[in-house]
Amino acid sequence: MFAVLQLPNFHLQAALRQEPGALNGPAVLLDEDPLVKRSRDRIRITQLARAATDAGVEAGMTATQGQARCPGLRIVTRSTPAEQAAQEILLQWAGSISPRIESTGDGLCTIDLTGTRFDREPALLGDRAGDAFTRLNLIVQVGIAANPELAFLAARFADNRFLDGEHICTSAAPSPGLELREQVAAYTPGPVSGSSAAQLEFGNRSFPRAGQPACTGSPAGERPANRQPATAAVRIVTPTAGAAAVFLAPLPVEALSVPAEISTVLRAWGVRTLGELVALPREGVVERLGPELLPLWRQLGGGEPRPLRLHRPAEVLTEAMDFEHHVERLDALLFVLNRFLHSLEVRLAEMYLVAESLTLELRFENGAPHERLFRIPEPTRDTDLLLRTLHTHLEGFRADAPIVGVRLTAVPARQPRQQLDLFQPSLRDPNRFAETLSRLEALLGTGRVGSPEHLPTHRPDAFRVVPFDPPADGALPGTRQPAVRFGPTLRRFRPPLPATVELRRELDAETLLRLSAGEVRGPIRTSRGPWLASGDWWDRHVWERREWDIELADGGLYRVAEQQGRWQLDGEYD
Amino acid sequence: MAASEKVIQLRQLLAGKFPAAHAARPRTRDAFHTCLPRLDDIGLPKGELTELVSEHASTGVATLLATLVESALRAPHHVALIDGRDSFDPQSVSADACRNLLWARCRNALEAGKAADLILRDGNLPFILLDLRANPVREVRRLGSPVWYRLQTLARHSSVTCLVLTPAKIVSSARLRITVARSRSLAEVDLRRDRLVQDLELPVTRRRETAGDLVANEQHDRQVAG
Repeated sequence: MFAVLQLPNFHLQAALRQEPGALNGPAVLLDEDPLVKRSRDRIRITQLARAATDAGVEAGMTATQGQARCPGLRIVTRSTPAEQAAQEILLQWAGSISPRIESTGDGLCTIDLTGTRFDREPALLGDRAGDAFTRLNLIVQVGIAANPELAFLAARFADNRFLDGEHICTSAAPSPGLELREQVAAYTPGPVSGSSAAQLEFGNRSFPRAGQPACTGSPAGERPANRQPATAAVRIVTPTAGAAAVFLAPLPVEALSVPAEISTVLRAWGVRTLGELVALPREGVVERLGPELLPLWRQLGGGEPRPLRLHRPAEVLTEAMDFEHHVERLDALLFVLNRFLHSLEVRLAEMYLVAESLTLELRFENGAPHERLFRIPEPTRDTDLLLRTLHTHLEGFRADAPIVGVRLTAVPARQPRQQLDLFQPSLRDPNRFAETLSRLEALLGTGRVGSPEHLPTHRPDAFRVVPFDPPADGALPGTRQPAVRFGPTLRRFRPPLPATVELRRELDAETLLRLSAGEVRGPIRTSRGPWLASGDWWDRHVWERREWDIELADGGLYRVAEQQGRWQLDGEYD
Repeated sequence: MAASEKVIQLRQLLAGKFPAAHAARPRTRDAFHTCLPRLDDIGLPKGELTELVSEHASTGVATLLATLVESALRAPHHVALIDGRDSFDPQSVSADACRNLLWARCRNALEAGKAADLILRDGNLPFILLDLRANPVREVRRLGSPVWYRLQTLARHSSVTCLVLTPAKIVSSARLRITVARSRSLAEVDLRRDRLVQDLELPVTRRRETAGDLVANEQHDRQVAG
């Protein structure tokens, strides 16, 4: 069995996906209409929600005409990032059902159900798809049949309404499309009974009958008291003898994507439905219409399925949006990011995965990009926690221009399962700790929070700060012996204080008499040195210095150094 | 003979046979184990602020601090060092100890106070060293009592032990105050560091007992006397 998932009005759905309930209002999509010849008039309404249709708006109208019919008309344009994200969602969800999937087109995906539980119980697929896509603010139609072509037609004519009244109208415009819808409505008079019921099953059992008033829709978020679990509109064409013929019998020939010439010839012959087309003799079809139609004809007749062009879903989850109005405030950006994270949470939950890292990409009006990778110490899909991570970073972020687009990418991973060790130090809440580190970095600046790391040089005060990431294999108590060290620790002045040193030279010996370096000053009681040090002579950063340990009269111990004829106070022995 | 009396007799017997094992018992109910005998004898109260005052130069508190960072590996626990004036020298501890250390390099006492607030509030690290010894006294005093009481509350709430190194007696909410007075001489530069730490004089100049501590200490004293 094959299943086809279709997102009707794909471009409109994708554009409005981040706005729950927007499809219940009068919304339309403006796009180039290829049927219009004059290029300047080509921007027309191409896809529209049910409420817009109810208000009298039709496909092919200009925006002005649409607004004249419906003053509150919501007009959106296509968003490539949003469409890519919606297509990615569709394919990734399909990938969680079966590894053999095909990206058939925009908002279309074909799944080979062989070997899955849905091959035996196809009706369950509708429940699962409906539940998942409803939470993702998408409406899906599912068609299941013995081959991809039949499944595609089943999905296309599976109807488009949900039990709770959240719905949009089917495929856009062309008036023939409206005609098709009426014919389908006439063909699907609710629960099928009698002989047809043995061959056709309907996932959605509340189709309005022909002539029934158009659905009224309910406000976003408002649920009827008797609401049932969300489900997709599903049509299953069972692989029994004659089922395909019964299904195809009333469908118009225009439902097939055949060349216009062939369509014209068929109309001239009086062949208006697919049932009539399939009833034609095979040799006659090939002889008169050419061999191109034969594979399709064979498929419609219930022949062997064509091989799928297998598609591998993306391994990362992406949510993206181009802003109609540029974003200048943090709260507006966080609002969008919160929506993104909610969507990612649902998608990850569908795959039983968690987010291992997040990548935030911002595009600014001046063209400057900003990209930041957030590693999640303890992978999770908790929206609140992930939002706090982003919030902490963005709080300390400043930009010169408003934001025109945002993209959030999550790398999924399996939920970590780790047995903690009684004798090894561990963090109570790694994610909270990562957030604290981000806040500390925002407070103190980059490179001022982390773990120090020694550098392979003898240059004084040579170190770098690396992210705090203690080794997982911490030492057991008492097993690690510290190296023997001598003398007190140096408390460094950063940068070293410029110093003035009075000294007395006697033959080859120098005696330091007095030090003056900022607030540290006074006669030198005792001194030891000089200790000679040099390094990096092979490099342009060559250094050479003489160091003394001194004790001032007030009891303070310090290290002074003379480098290139200048004196400096390195630090205090404490 | 009642069972409780037998237990008391057994304890007295053990205390007589192994006095060293009982003498080092910390006076506070719940002390943080630093793996440094000089401090463990005193007992840093867990979930409290302890102030280590060093009013003079070169008293050895930075050496003590480096040793604490090193000994955290043996405890084992992670340690945070909030460096009030970015004066810590990473070369003074081993590479392993560095990896176990979260170092916050602050520019002044105000930043250090904010950083301490964040880390205490987080509660993931059990031991925090707040080093304000190199900051000017006036700057540290400017933090004010409310800050110290807030930090105390946070430490108690998250059960984090916080050792504050100051150039004067400043931390009003500290449960324990240790004052280091003696400066070192240049002759001691060649001594082993563990010897330097061992020789440190760490007199407790203030100990605020809670009601629970008083009861526990009374029981302890009664047992020792009995």
